[in-house]
Amino acid sequence: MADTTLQLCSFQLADALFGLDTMLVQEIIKVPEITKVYQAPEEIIGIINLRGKIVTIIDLAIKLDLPTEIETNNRRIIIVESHNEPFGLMVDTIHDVIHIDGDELGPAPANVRISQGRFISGVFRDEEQLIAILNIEEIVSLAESKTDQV
Amino acid sequence: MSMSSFIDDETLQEYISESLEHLADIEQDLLTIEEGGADIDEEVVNRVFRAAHSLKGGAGFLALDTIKELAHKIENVLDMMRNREITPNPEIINILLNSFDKLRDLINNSSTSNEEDIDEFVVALVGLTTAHLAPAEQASVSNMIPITKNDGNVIFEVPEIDLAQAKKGSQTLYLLEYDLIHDVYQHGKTPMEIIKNVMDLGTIIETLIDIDKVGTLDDAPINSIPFYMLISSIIEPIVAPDFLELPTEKILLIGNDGKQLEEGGPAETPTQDAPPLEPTPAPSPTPSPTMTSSEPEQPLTPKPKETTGPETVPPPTTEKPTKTPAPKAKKVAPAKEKAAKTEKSDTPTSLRVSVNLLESLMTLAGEMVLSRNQLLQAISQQDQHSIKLSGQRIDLVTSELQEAIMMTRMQPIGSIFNKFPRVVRDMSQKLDKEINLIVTGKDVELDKTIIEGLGDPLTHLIRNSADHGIETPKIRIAAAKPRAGKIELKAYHEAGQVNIEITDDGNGLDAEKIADKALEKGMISSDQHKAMSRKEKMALILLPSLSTAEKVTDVSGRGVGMDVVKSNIDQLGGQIEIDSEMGRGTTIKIKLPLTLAIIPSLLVSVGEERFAVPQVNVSELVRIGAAQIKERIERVGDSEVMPLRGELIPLIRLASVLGIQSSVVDPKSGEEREDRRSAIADRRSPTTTIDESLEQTLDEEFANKRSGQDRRYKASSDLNIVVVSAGSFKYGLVVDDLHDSIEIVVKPMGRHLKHLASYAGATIMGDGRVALILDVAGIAKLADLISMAGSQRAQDLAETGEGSRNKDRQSLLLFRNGPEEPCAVPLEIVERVEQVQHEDIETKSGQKVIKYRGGSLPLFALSDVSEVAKLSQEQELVVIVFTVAEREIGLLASQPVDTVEIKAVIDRDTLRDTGIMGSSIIKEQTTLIIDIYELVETRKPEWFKRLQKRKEREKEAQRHGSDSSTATAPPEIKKILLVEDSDFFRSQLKKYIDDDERQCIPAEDGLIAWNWLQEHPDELSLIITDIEMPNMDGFELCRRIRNDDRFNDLKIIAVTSLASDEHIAKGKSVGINDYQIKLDKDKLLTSIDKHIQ
Repeated sequence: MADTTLQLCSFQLADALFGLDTMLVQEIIKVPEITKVYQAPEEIIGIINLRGKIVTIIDLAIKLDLPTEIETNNRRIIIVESHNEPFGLMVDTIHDVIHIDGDELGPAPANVRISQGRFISGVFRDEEQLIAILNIEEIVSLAESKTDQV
Repeated sequence: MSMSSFIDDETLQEYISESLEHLADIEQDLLTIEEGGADIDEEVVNRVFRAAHSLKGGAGFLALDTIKELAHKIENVLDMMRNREITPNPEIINILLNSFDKLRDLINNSSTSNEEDIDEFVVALVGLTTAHLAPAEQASVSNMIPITKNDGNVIFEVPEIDLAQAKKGSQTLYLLEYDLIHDVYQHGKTPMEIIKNVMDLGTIIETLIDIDKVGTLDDAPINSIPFYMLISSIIEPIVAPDFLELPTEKILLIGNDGKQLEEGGPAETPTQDAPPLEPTPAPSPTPSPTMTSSEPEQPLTPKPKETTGPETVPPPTTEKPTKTPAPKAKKVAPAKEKAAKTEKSDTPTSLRVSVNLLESLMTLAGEMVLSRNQLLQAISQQDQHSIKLSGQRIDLVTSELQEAIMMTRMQPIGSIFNKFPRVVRDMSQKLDKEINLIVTGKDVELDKTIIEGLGDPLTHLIRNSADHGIETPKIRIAAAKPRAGKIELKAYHEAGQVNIEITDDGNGLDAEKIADKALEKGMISSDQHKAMSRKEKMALILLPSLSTAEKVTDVSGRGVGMDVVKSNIDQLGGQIEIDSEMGRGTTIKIKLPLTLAIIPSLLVSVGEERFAVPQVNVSELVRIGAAQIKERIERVGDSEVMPLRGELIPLIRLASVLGIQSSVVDPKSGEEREDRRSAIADRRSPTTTIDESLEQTLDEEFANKRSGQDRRYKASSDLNIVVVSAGSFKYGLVVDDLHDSIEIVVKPMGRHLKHLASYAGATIMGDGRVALILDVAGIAKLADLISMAGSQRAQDLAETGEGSRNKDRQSLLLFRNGPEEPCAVPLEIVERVEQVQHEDIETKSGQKVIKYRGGSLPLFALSDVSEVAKLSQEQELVVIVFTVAEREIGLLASQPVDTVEIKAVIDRDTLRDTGIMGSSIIKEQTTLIIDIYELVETRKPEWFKRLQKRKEREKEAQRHGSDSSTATAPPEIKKILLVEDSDFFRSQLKKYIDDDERQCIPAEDGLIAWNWLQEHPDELSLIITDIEMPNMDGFELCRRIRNDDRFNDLKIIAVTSLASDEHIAKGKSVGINDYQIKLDKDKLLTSIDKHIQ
């Protein structure tokens, strides 16, 4: 792994902690009014207007097959970009930005709760927590639809 | 070893885009040359020559050898043309056009151009050159002369003819030896600039980059890349170094033998020591700008250009002393990256914008920044007034900015119009026709995307006009038309739209032929066929797989096309209209919006969701009151249709198609997302019908009330229907609410959602929320409403549906019985309508009569026999006069009286009563269809004695079974087979015909009749048949009968609701003896009397 330090934007989804390289995060916004898109894939909550751009919002919980929690006011949308297209990832609660050493990253353990291992590019573990680092490209890629895989 | 590694990507791109620009006008010029023939317009030939020449020059430098060779051969021909050694004729121009086509092709695929085979073109071009040379000179084409330097090095070999041509006009031959590193890059120049400069001064004959020299250097830094050019020029050797920006020793004079002249350049040049770059006063105006232009460019190159010599090569070069010829390392790495990118899309997605426009954009952007600063300042100072002012300013600037940016997308339509002269020329040659193309309105500007999408459909239309429209000269002269046909292509603005018209003075379209073909292919029903206007019939050509071309030509036709044109135009938000007159020509009019980026749309909503429907798709809005839903909406199978002015519009519920749940969607609630999941699955089959869903929503409303949720739903709400047209068919989209019409900016959807058929994109509303734009064609597809014209399909469904068997188009007389009781009778059986006063009606021995034409007319009223309202004193009375059982009778009725021609779908069950055949929805009202025969029969059975007698006899015969029927049937009764699919007409006809001597055997269609004939071949005296019938039509039945010897003597009378001449002719041809109009009783009976055996 890289020997540089990594800044992770950490957030909570269901009862699990996840992290995203801050370099990939464009911004974090409160949940605006979302326009539902009927007949869209299941994990797509809808689309929003982000300063004139249409942004597709993905429900990470559904994508990662995690139980969806009861609504809290802490929900946020993390805006990321992939191939010049902005995406919003709906998460339950935003946590701190943590600095970690690249060496501390390990491969995702086999028993990681997420059935879709490919969405996780690695895990970071210290005494009290385990943070799974998301692979954004996999998450926004079209190749799969969760239902196809079953 | 790839030469292309020399070429940095920028240079290549520059070359490609310039070359394509040169080529853009070539066709036009060549066509002008062709037109001029021997009268050569030197200006034009020169222009084409220069284009070819520039292509050659650049290609030589870029090592695009194939392009170079082809361009060179073209150039030779053009050169001879401008020297009047070749006289242009269509054949020569053909070769040139094709060669330029190939050239364009090569340039578009420059990376692979060197592998292309161009022999075909080269042979043709060389053939041209050789054929037009004097025999003595012909050898010079293949005779190669080596260009040799004094040191004995042969640089390249050049055909003798090239040298000879170049030297014409007392030109001097120079061999230039540029060093790409020292003379080009270090002077802050690009190779293309050098080539252009040289081309301004003379003619390039041959070029070469000496890679061998580069390749041999193993470890030493590469310090020069020689680039040789053999040119001919009129400039004097003495000034050449200045003009060519080369040191004198690099300019070698070449003699006729290809050898360097000993006494060449250096010796003759006194200014040998002059610094080559010092701008000397130029004797001719051309070079001076070139010289000066190099000056301001200097600051752009950070390297000091004075420093020369091997040590001062660019640093990157020294890093790469590899064998790979990468001398110009400066740009190698990015070039590779770019090359990879450009390979993917060969067509550059760049756009030319006028500098003026760009400047106004810059100004506006500046304004914007200024306004923003003011706004920010005003906000920080809490200065309300300034905030308002800045707001206004920003508003203004934004609109202007938007407008200006939209302008950048506008392009003149000329860019596609320009290719048509060539298309028409090629076609007229191929088809041996003479066609003049007149193009107007090239300057009309349209959105880039529209222009791009317009090329194919317009080409198709032009080709159609040339191929199918314009006749051959022979036919034209015979038709007293000018020998040469004319196609006009015209673009103009009208009412905020752009119209494009393609008019030809050719043969025109035969609306009937198109309609017949559509009928033949089952695309329209026979009734539609009869009812359609000429224009409607013409529009049928836009349906898939209809083409009038009787034979398939390779030029156009193939039976496909117009539907593709139509769908292309649809995609562009345009409309297409066809007008044509047989023998006079055709006009096709295309109406296009100026831009696709902003479209007017209708806003609708379902539940809480708002959707935009592009206005071009909306044909009308219909609201049906809650109370009327049951009457106005018909259910056919599992689908619903709405009768609308005689058309049946299939209905699609937007909510069912999209699977919209009626509960509020709250993205913040996890629970409701669960809800959504199951709901979508539940609704996968959109079979929810209106009534059910109304009930459903009622239920839901109660549920919502219970759960205390606020739902903005009106249970008793009216049904809002947006009638949309998707391509060739219409359907009704049922929504909850209709809102305003607004202009929306179309935004593309993300990659996850792009493929969804139901949406055309998204848009941002005034309140910042996002609304989805519906794709009406996609929704129709989702709802399985596709392939046939929707209304047609609904019609078919209606026909197969229960209780709606009658479908023939009928003219009906509408009247009222009670004030709210619309009634109708077939117009054909009505003799007259008379106004009467209540007091004129007398009652004699239980029978109402009026004095009428010197006698008394017995009157009947519908209320005499059935449960309907009695006519009251207040109503204005009329008497409808019929002839029943050979007597005139009157039916009492009331105003208003009207006539209508519809396809009556008669419900024979619901309102069936004595004297009432059934009901139908006419003009959106349930109308009783009166059976006047039954009415009179009920009241006066004695008038129908004969009929009754025979009925008894029939029953008797049936009791004996079919086998013995022949024996038991009294021989004097003649049997007439009555083939008619419409119940209505069948029963009417039967009533006319049946009497003591004649008995009708009813058959519902041709097939049933034919089968009956097989079983009873000898019983018939006559056949009366309808023409249009399901399973087997009348024509086919006749054909079969006439092909069967058993029925040689059998006469056939055809009955139809409308007998056109064509029909009659066709009928005669298949052996029909007589044609009669249905319900024209007298004539029909006369005809029966005449033909019965």
